[in-house]
Amino acid sequence: MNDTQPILDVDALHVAIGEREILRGATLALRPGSLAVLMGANGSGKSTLGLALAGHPRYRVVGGAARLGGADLLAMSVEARARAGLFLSFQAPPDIPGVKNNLFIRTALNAVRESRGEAPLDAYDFLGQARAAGKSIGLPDSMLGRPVNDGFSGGERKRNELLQLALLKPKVAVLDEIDSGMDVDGVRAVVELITRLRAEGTAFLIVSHYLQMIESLSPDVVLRLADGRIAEQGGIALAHEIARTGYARAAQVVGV
Amino acid sequence: MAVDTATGDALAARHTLATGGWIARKSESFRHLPPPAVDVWLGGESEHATLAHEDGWQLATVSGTPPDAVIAQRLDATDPAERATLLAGCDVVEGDEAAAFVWAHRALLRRGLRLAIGAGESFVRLDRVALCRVEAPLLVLDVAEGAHCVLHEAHALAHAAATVQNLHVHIRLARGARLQHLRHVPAAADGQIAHHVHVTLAEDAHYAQALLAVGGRYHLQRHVVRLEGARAAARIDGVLLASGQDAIEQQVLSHHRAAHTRSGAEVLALAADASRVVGNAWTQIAERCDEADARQKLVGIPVSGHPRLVLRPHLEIHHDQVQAAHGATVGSLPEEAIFFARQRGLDASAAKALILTGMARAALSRGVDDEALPDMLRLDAALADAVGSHLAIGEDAHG
Repeated sequence: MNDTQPILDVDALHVAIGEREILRGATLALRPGSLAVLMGANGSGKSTLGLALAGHPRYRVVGGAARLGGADLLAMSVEARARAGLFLSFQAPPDIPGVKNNLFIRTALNAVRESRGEAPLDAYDFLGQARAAGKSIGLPDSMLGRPVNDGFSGGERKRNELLQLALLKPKVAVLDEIDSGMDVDGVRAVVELITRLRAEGTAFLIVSHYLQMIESLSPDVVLRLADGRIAEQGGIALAHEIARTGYARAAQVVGV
Repeated sequence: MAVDTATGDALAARHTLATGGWIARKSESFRHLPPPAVDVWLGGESEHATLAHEDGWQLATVSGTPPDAVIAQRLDATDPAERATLLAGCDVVEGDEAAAFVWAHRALLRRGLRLAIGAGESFVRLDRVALCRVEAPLLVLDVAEGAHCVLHEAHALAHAAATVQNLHVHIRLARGARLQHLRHVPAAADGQIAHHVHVTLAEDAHYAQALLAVGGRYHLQRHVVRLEGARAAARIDGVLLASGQDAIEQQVLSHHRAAHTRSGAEVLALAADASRVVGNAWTQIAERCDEADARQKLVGIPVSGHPRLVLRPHLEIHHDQVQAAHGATVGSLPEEAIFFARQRGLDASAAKALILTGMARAALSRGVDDEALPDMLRLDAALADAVGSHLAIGEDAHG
């Protein structure tokens, strides 16, 4: 696959929770190294899109298609999607009592490495990489020895998501409000990490309402999700317009 | 014909069993998981006559423990004088619903280990191997005033086919003594195990037990804690893993007998297949126990299949100025955490095993003072191994 072909291709995706259809024909494509910002009112289906792509069992795909690197994403198990290169940062990452962060991340990283035919990282090498990555995003070493997200603040949880992103180096990352709960240093770390990974070829779908961060990310495209589909797309000007007029006003402008 | 007092004691125990009978099916403590009949615990003569000179306990002290901190006596219960020494202070309590287990134990008792833990810091490891098919081991532990001890007790029963073991442990903590007691009891699928741990605490004494109990056709872990001195504190944290046709019960009976005493009982039961698990916590706070504090938390999680989980918290309070809380929850697997782990690349069974191991670790670590202790004892490896094999059995059963 060359860089002009999308690494992620979502075509008319319909997703339901129970009997309620949340996504009703969402379509988007991401090329390697590209960045799309997904905006939309609360309840418009932004998180649903990420969770459905990742294979959350509560989110039932009832129509459409999604391909990752040309392969049928929707036919894969949750872990196969992750191993194929899809990373989802959670809006509210769960805690896992009793499982140390470094053990959890190393186990995950080695599962991904094994699927790629790479040798597993031993504890020593992993710790070196994890400490370096943690330092770059402002996560203290001590967080590696604590249970996953257990007792972490909102910002610490998000930094921990970034740590996993930095170590897993996915092909496509969907970051769901990664900036929420972050202080200014945290947001700066988000931007720096995304910029670095983009340069290495990772494509990003960023869900955010935070204009300053969106501007710093220099997105290739801004998408507005409404009524379960991409209602509008444009450049950074669309993000400015939404910030100025709000989602209700934006909907009137384009007659959705 | 004259008999010596040791033989007489054993015969008297058999007589008491014969006349008093075995544990009644309607017994409140045992009604959800009635123990196997008395004959199982007594066995035939050929089943417990071997290795009469061994007691099965392997004792080791970890470096840093002063040489004179632990005094061990290996005593022969068939010798009248040694039997008297061995059983000194191990009296049968009036009205004990498990008294029949005591008589069965006395009838079969051959040898026992008595340990005296001196003042200062000590770290003791006790490993026990089953010596014969039906046995009644005994451990008596006296912890001196002000002593701080870590005791790691591990049983090698998982590969001892069809073992029947009626173990009694008596622990007495003198004023201000502290004991952290980590117990690992993996039973074979056809093993029948009954462990009775009796703990008595003087004032300001602290006792904490972390128990990992795995498997067994019948597996009872019964803990009776007597808080006799003011400000004494005890907590028992148990993780029970059951699968296949396993039947496991943990009973924690706490008696508050003095003011400002604290007790805690937490049970985490992870059950799969057609197993049966009972968590039974009973706490009694006597009169005049000002500011006593009692907590009970029983959690059961069906991991797969259709296990039967019974959780029974019970408080009996005879005084006003106390704090007490109890709770019992049959929950489900943390599906969001499992999805999260799978999203990071772990397959479903690895994610489940990692998360259940973590839950077990968290449960066992809560009562341990020293954060480094679980690592030192390689608790994670033991838990991962136990949970892994536990889940593997669960998956095999479902093809």
